[in-house]
Amino acid sequence: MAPSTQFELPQPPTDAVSSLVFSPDSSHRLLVSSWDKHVYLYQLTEGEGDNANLLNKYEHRAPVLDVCFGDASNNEAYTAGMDRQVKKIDLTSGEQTVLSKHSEPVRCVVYSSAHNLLVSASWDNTLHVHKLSDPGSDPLVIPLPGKPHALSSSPTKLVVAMTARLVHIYDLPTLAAATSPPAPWQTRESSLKFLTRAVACMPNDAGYATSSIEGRVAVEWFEDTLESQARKYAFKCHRQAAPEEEGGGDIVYPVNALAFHPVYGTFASGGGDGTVALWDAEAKRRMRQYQKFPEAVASLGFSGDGKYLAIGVCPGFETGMEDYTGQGRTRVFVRELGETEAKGKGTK
Amino acid sequence: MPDNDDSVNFDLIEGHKENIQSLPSGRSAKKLAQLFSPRGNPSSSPHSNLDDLKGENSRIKASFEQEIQNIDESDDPLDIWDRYVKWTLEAYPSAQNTKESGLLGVLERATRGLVNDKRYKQDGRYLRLWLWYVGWFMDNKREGYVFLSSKGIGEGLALFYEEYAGWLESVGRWAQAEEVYKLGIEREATPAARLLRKFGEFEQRRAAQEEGDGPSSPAIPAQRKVLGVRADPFGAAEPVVRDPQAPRQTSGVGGGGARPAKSKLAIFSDADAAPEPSAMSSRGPESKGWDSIGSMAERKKENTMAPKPWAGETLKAGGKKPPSAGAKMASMDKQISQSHIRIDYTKVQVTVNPASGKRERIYVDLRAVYPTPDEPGTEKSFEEIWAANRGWLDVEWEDEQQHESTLFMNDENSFPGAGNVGGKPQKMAIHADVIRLDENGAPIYPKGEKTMRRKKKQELNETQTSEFIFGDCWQSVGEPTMTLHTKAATDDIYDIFNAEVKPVKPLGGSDDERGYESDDYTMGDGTRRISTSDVDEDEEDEEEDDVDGDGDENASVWSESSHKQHQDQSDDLIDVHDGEEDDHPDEPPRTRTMFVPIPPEDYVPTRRPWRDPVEAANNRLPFMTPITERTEMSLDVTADMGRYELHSKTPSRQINKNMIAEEDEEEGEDLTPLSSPARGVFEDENAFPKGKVPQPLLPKARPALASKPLATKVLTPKATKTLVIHNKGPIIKDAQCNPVDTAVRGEILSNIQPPLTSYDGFYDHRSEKSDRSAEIRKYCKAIGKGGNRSSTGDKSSNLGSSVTLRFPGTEREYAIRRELGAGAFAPVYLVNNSHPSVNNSDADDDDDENNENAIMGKGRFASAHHKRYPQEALKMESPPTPWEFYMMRLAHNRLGPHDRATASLSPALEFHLYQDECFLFLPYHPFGTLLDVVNLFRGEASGVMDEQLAMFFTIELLRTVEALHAKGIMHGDLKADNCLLRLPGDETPLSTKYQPSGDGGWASRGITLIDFGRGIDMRNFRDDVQFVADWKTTSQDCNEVREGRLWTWQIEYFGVAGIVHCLLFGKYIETVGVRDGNGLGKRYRIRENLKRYWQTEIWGGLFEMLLNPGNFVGGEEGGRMPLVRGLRGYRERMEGWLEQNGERGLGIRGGLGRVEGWARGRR
Repeated sequence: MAPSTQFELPQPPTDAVSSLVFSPDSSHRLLVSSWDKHVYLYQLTEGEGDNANLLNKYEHRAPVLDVCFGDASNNEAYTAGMDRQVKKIDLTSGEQTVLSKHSEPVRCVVYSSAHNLLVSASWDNTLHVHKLSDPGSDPLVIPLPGKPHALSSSPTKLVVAMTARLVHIYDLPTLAAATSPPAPWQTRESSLKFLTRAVACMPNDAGYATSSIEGRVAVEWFEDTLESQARKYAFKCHRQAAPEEEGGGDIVYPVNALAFHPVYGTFASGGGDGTVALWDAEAKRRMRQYQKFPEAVASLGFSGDGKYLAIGVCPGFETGMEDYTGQGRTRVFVRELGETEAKGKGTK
Repeated sequence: MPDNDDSVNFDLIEGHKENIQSLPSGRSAKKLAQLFSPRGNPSSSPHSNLDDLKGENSRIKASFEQEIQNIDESDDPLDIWDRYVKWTLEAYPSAQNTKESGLLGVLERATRGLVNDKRYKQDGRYLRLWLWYVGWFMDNKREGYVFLSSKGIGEGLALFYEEYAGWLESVGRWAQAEEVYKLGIEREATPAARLLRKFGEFEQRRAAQEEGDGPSSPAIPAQRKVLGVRADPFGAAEPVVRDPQAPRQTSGVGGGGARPAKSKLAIFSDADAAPEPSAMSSRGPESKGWDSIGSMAERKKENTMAPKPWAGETLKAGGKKPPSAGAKMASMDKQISQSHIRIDYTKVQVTVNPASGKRERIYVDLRAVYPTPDEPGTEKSFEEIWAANRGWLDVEWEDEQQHESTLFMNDENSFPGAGNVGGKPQKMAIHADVIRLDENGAPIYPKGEKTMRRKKKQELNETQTSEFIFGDCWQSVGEPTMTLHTKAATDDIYDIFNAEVKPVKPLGGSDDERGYESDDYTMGDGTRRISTSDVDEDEEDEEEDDVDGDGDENASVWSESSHKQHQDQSDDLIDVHDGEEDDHPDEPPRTRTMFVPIPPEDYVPTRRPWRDPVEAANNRLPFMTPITERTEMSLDVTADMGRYELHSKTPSRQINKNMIAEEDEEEGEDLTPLSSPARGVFEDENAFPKGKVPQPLLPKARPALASKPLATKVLTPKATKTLVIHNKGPIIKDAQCNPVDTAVRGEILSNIQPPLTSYDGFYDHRSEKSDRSAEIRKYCKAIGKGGNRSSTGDKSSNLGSSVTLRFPGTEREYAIRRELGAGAFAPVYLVNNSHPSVNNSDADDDDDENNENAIMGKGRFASAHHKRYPQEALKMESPPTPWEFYMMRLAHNRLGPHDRATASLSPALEFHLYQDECFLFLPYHPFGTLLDVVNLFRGEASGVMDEQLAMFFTIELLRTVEALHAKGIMHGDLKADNCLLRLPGDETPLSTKYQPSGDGGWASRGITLIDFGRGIDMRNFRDDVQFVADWKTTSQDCNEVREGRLWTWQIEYFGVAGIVHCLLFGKYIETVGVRDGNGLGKRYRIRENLKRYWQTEIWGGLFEMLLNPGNFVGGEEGGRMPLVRGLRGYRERMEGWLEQNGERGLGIRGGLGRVEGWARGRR
């Protein structure tokens, strides 16, 4: 079993990381979006001493809140900007094209390659569904009952987590075909009482996981049969012992990031306490917990082949501290996973 | 006839029948009779019967519980529960959930415990338990029934349908009831015949009803396809129950159990259906079922979704729609409000996990995330909060082609800077305290937190750099912050100033509210015009337009700051705070009105006015000292008044010139008194210890002085007393000493320049004995006994012989009236002064005796101590010492009559010093002390005064203390009873709005500090002196003193803190030490918690500074105490706040008016 090593990306963003994502293929390229208004593109180099290079960085007008890779050639990326724009970036040329504009900052973008759709979610309570096969066309605007805070896609579904604990699940083929805003495939209420922080879909299209600002993760299944619904569960995580002088007990941190391993279907959670844990969704167990990172974990991403896990850390800004800056304290770690490190125990 | 055991006396039961819950299975009459009959011997006390009963019940109960413990082993757990419940019902027939019966708990556990047990789903006993539960303890019965249906409990039992339909009927839902019956019949529920019969009965009743059928939506959304979109009044009321996976301390069953996958009861419609209403849930094809309906406790918890959406359930017939309904799936609002769970941060931020008993604290500041818990969907994600903090949400985004910097040119906000600074609208709910368990402003939250403290470091965003500087500047408007007064900022100003001073445009003539007319010492409100040449032309124009509103705010703020400068330095400084502005000429035009006094051409600003005088004095030319010396000596002798006149006209220009000129020309001339406005330059004049008094000057001065009628003065003979000249440095050279020690004081007094004896009003009779105190005391005692018209001969004889004091050297006579009070060392008497100053408000008409007061210029007395009143106070300290007199005079001299703070210092009018006694005459302040005011409010509901009032007094206190400290004087004994309430004698009205400048009557209200008996002139000591306290300490002493540590200014700040604490809380201050993780060692804070709705930032910050002054020296001149700037910063913030918010509620005017009314009334 190859030992898992962990290294840090050089030239990390100069302010907090908002999101990071690996290219879905095995090229091991990594995009990191940051509050310093840039999107960074790194390339992991394999071989002697795992490392990475900064290939490029793309400047925006405002903090970039989310980024994702585009089509299979992986030469395009899409960004969600605080400047309310959804943009496409040509990674080689650096050219940026505005795909659509929201009336409020754009919080998330996801790309579905199977359907060639780019969906963006914005604080203006809408989703924009961009049919990339028809560039230049206006996106389909889907109104949402709440403000979306997290977005994730599985092979056929799109999960939107909003305020007031609302969750909408859209069917991607429907979205791709729709000409007018379709109704969600399902609407649910979050299993968690507190604000949803992150959503991640299982790569096997079976379900999804959500996490809240109150140290909990819930795993649910798409299938709306009783059995499936009965299987859903939630658990507490990312709690640290409070020092005695504060009365002991626990401090409950937000779970900022979730990411599923593309192969094994296990998932990782990253919290405000600076830890990353790997969970076996089927077995409902925690597989391992990594050593605490120097700052809170802001974002997680597995590489397309599941060999690497990227962890973006920066001081948490949960409390909205005015004098917060991630400068100098933002780092991106990449962990090379052992063969079975992320492998669960299989279904029970 | 004795009761037969065999027959039951129904009378017994009859009487209690209301309390007996009927059971369908009937009750044992015998048992009931037993329960309700008086037991045993009539002679035995009733209590013992009850006790017996209770005891017995407890035992039985306990035995049941014991069975429950082992229920897992049981073959038939239902049996145990069944018996238990039934017994409970028997034993407590009222079927109420009392503490004793515990009925609810038992029922709940029974039902929940077995909900997934397949065995019992068709067991009548189990169904019965449920039906009891639903019937007695569920508000939302429908939910209960539907739940049962979903679980398939009683599906095959007629009982279920009967009960459910029965209930539906009772609430008028005939159609649904019918449905239920039919369903049951269809399913062949047993006993079928009975069900049919009941249905028949129902039909009859229904026919007789002829009312509306009630809601027609499906009662049980079972096999039928979900009906078309129908108004389902209950739809809205049926939120899906929380999934137990959000773990809660619930007895609810987890969702893991086996579920009957009966297709018949498939609750969801097909996945492709558009969302339809259904009886089960109001949202579309819900993909999850019901795992539990939760326990009562859960439902009642406010953090669950319980209350709101279920509101409709209790409605009666007629199908009234519950208000929250709408039942239109398309309505997003409904969706949100249904799924919304109210998160009240106070309840949830820190919780105790009942299961583990551990305390859980949520790291995230829930207030920030849930600023308005009652509004669904308003929670904010961290990104939102942060973006708002950074101002990103307010930016106007043009198409990307344009240059960034034009972005905020387009900003149409009235405050060009503020808007982009992520300004005001964002202030709400964005806050950033580290979560601490004390409370800070939660109610204030939605309205607006004033916590947008923009630090300059936000230059991270270059596009916002210039904004932020504005932000800083503009921040001050209406929201004074400390940033204005950073050293950097003021240094900027100095820099500009020291650069070439460009000719300034003349100020509007009428705008000469320079406040240096001796009386109208305005703090500069109203519009001022700035006219530095650096200002752009259009800015000038802007000012024209912006006369009021923002302009005023700006002006006042800026003038405030300009004033702070004044206090430090000469008023001649240009307050070019917008020096920063100069760097950004292309900023959008902004209103700026500032007050710019014109400096004299040759003016050189002092950079360190209140520190340097010590050094400056040493460095200055000798001609400075005579000024000092003289003024101290003369103490505002008339000759000086000539100076005033000049000052009043053109304070800036003339003074200096004249001063300088005069020094050259007229050695003996009257010189600027200490209190000249130009003291900025000549601060050091007060630094008498630097007395480089050239001897010859003295005698010369004397004749000059003597030329004015100072007949009453005894000074002359003393004038020749040799002055001891100290060359340099403070009088006391010790590194550590006790400043109140008599020896130390004695040395100081002997060595001060000018000497005490030269002070106006000081009468030295030290060679004589007075021996009058006994007489006075006797008199006061006598009148104290209330013998006005008493018949006792003694008393009446005393009446006539009130004590009148006469002193050599003055013609005034003082008649003792009564004792006002007695401090630790000194009684205080009210006296009548035979020779008050005539026409006290106008100095021009002084009589001869007070000629020394005659001021040529307009306005008032040269010094406060010249004003004499018909009623005055006499303090006789024992053992006799002139210390207090000296300190009071010193304070007045150094501050001068024009300092606004001077009005807040009691002046020492006259002093007679004998060998054995001393007599200090002070003005009589009749309005009581701050302590009295605090006590006045004890009667309030809150027990304390309004925050506004507390703030007003704090402002006054801070201003006074600032002024004293700036001159190196420490009061030394600050406490609430040493702050007298100061009100105008003539009841001038207060303007509605608070004016920091003091206009509108505000300057005439405030406090007067008395009791300088512990005063310390820090200039008598080395710069680095440390004091030790030799006295017995109390809790009202500052921490350093109590802990035996060295101190200087700390006691003063502690005293201020004590007063402020008293104002706010009505209690004496208590502090706690906090170990500071920042490595600052121990910090202190007050024990009390600030009320959340107060200006906690201000008060908190102030207390922090006052209790830990050592941590705040950074912002001060010279990096050391006293914290003049620090205090001033808070004062100005408070002034700003009070100005903005002083009209809320009763308002400061109202509050002060009330105090005033009370105070005047108590005389």
